[in-house]
Amino acid sequence: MKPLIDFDECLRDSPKFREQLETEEASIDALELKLDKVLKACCLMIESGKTYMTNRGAFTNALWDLSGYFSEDPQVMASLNRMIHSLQEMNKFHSILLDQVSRTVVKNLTAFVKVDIKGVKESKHHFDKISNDLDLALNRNSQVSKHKPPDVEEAVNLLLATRSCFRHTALDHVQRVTMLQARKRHEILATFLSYVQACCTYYHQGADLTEDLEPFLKTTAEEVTTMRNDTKILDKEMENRHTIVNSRDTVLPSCKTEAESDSKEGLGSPCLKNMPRMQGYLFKRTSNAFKTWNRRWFYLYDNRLVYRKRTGELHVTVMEEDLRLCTVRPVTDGERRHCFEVLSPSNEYTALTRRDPCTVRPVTDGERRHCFEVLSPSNEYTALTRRDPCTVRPVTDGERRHCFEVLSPSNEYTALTRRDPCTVRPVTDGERRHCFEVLSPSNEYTALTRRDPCTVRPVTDGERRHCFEVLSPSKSHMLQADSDEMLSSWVAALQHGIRAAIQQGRQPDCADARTTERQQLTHHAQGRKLRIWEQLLSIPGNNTCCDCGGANPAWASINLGITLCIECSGIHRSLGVHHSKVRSLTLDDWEPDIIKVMAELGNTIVNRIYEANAEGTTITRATPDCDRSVRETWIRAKYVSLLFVKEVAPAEPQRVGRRWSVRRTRRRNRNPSAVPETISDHSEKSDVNSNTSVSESSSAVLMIGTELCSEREIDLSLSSDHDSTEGEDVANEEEDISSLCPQTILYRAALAHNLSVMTSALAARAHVDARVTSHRGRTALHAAVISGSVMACSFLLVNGAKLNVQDDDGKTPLHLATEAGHTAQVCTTPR
Amino acid sequence: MGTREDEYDYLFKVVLIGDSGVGKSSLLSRFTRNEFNLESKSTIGVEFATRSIEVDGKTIKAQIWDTAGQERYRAITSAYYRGAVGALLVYDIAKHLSYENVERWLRELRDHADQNILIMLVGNKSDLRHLRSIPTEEAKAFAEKNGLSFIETSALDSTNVEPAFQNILTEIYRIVSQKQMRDPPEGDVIRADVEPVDVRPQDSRKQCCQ
Repeated sequence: MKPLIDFDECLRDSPKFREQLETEEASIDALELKLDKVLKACCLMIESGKTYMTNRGAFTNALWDLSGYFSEDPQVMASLNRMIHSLQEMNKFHSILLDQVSRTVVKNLTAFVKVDIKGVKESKHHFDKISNDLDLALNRNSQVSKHKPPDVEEAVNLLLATRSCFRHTALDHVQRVTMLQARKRHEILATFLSYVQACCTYYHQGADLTEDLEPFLKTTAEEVTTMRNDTKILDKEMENRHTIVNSRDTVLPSCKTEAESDSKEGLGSPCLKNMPRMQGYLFKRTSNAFKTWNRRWFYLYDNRLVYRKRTGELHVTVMEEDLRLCTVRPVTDGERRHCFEVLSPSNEYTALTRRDPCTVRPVTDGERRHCFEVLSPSNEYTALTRRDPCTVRPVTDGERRHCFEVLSPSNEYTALTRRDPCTVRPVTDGERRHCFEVLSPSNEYTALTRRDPCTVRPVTDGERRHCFEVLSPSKSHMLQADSDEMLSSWVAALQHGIRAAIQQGRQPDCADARTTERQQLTHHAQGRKLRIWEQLLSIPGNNTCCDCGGANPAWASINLGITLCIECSGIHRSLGVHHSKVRSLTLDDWEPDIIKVMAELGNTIVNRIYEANAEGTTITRATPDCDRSVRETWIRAKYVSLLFVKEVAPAEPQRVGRRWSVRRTRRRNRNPSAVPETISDHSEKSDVNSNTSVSESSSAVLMIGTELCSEREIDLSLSSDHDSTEGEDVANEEEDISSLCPQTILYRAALAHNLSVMTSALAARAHVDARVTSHRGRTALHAAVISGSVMACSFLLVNGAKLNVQDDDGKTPLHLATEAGHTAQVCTTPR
Repeated sequence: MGTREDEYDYLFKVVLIGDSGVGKSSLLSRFTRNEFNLESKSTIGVEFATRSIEVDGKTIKAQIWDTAGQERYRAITSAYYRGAVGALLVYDIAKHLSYENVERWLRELRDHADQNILIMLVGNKSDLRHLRSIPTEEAKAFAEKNGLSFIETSALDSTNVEPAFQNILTEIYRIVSQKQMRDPPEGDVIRADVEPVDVRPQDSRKQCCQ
């Protein structure tokens, strides 16, 4: 390869040399320009590539985030992760490519421009300078005067030196230019060769990756297809969604199923203790002053009524801690529809008002007198009420008359002790039985009693519909359902829940009973129900139906004290409660005093009264398989028309001065070993004419009721009347025979708590609420209260005795009971 | 110059600078032609001569440019400094002014020559011991201070002439060969670690993704 410029020409500094030099220099300038352009473009490319890589990195990071979101879905997450890994691999390849570009193209070209081309420029600069110097030297040399030899010599020397320098420099410059022109060819080619090779590597890597990924991509595509199909199927399944709106418009699915399962499993099996029995939205009236209505999600759960908000808070609010203490009733008297109320007694009240399986017995070992205990199977209940000794005493020092106080150690209780003239009346139209109302002119008092579960008072607030109220003495919850259906579902569910809770409380869940005392109590309660109806059937005559004689009567009339077969109980129901109050021996709960009433009477005694004159009647006697009409006619004749009742007082004129009395019943069921007493009772009975109501014994006193006496041992686990009736013997005075009429007999019998005679007096059309003028205008209930017998009170009450009848002193039986300190009666009578 | 002269491994350009009359041309002729002429004329412009030496088995060709020390040629001679990798800065040990001007020559080198040029301070005419005006120690100390190597020579009796050139050329060789080890010669533009442009499908990926 020859140099581009001939050295000879160069040394001669010929025009041709200059021309060639200029051409080459221009070529180099052009090359520099183009290389600069390439470099700029390349740098820009790398910059944007780096930006792209940064963004790709951000993209993959975002994908990682997304994959983390799918942590619950391993299938999606695995595929995503695999793909992200591949993307990261690709990113890596791309970064390498960019790096290669930067190392090859940019570095090499920059070096070429900065070193080689710049070198040529420098050398050209020097060449130009020395060229000028040479021109100067030549001029000086030409201008020097030949008459000045030293000047001539100097000029010649300088010219020589400069020319030699110029020649060296020119040759250097030519060499530089030539070298650059030679090198540019391979430099540039090599640079872009390595760049293209780097690109090839990049694509090769990509190809390898693709090959590796292929099976995975295939399976993922299949998975995607499967998922898409699943989605389609799901969409199809949900196509009919709007029909649900119509079919389940009013009741939520959960309610339906719950209600169904509820009805299926029945109330007796509250086994789903931890399952919500019913759930849904209700409007709840706040208990604060604003009385606003909020929508909350309610459910019955674990014997509790709880609710929570739709969103926000996770925790639930317990509205009623123990459903066993609650009752529920629809609220129809408010402005709102679909309301119902859940009633729950406060702990203190429970003792007084609950009709649930409680046993009442007097407490004699406390400091106070006239205390009683309410025993109940539920632990909480027992714990709170067992040792709450209350005393009732009349209040005479106030401005108002007829006040009484219930004294109790607990403060809340004293709320009852307000000194207002109160009237008490039984409430029979409520959800609960045996409720009473305490009416008083003062607002606070009624406010208190209105919230009492046993008080039925209209709820007057609001214009809302579907409302119901959950009431407990301490709290009042007004709730509103969305519709009547929901309302009734809720009321039913709450009632079921309450009953299930109570029944569950009766189950032998004594595992948590701590003391032996409690265990005994629980066992006691367990066995009680079975024994009660067995023993009620063991009462003379009770093993057959009182009216038709059918075997195994399962029903009873509590005011008559008889047992009935199911057919006859149906007839009794149709008579109305003022004639007969029917209860199931097995299904219903039995209060202790009602059991006492039952034990005192029985089919034999009652038939002695109601069928005394049945012999030879024209009316067909009912038989176990007789027609319903025959049965009804017989029963109506027997209890409504009282056709077979014998007159209680003898029709023939009585001897003046003859006195009469009613035999007092004595029962000591608590000590069955007291045989001597029983024997003496029997001997007493044997002395008396057995089949007449009026004793014709030699004694001057006509003793009524001896033939109806039911002296027998009944091993009922009942508290005896003894404690409440002790010390009354002194007051057993005799009456003049002139006063002998059903009314006075009833009064006297009540005084003597002789239920048999009371029954016969009632059968003899004695009015239960009639005031006996000879006894300060008191009623039989007054007498029963005076006698101290809870049983007698109960008997009169179930036979419809009114509580509010005042005697000549203006006192009601309740006042008398409080005066006498008969707490049990105070508590029982209003029931 | 025979073929032997053309076969060399390295070509180093070295310049001789210093005041007029300190013996630059004498040193050059002593080194390249082993001649000495007491009646030599002052140099006009620039002259140059070459000589090859062996270092570490490599042939090093020295292109030694002898410049005119006279002030009036200063502009011309400075053009020769370009591309020089070594410089022998010569002064006369018997002429104090030439020693004083060493600093001026250093400045001249800094202005016109390459930054990394290797400079050797040479005190010539060491045979004129009786006329010595610059003590060896003083010059040595000055050389050390300015990062120069130092030697005293006599072109007349040939003392230290050979070692002076040998030393500077060896030094240059060391630097250049070391530099070559660090930075491969131009043309091998792609560095070794970027080399996998050789594409082999099997393992190319592994090579790249370190």
